[in-house]
Amino acid sequence: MIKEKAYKSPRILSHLPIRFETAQSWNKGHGNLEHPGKGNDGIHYPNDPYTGPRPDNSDGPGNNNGKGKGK
Amino acid sequence: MIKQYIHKGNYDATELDGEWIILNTDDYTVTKINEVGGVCWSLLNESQTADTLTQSLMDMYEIGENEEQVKKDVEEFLHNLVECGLIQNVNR
Repeated sequence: MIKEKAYKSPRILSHLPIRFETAQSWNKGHGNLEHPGKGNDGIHYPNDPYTGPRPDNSDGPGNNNGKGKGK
Repeated sequence: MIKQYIHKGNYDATELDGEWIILNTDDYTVTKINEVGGVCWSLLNESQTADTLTQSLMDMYEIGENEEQVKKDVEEFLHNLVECGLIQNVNR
């Protein structure tokens, strides 16, 4: 029998817990809303969500040049 | 009594670039071990003692170190695998 390679002592190189991410981990506030869970408030999303006026919402009239759905 | 060890559960293990990655779906951990550790892990599919593992390694590899040193390495590795929750003592 041909012996394989030089021996190195058996070793554990790393031992780490698995981190789970939900559908909303990267979507703070305005991300994908159609998911079965409650999300985790976008813990990894780097910025606060935009809360200013949008052309297609009820916060303001917009300036009629947005890409909103229209009425 | 000589301690015998075996896998604690039916965990997935994959060899990648000479390293083994073991996915423990009971405790949700990922453990990476080196190649010789992977050989030991494969053999621990069936119950093994430090002596039987040492003998298998002596048969498979060109081992310059003496058998006593290999046995010490294996015993330490087995202890670490127990700590990680990947193997269990059969005698318990």
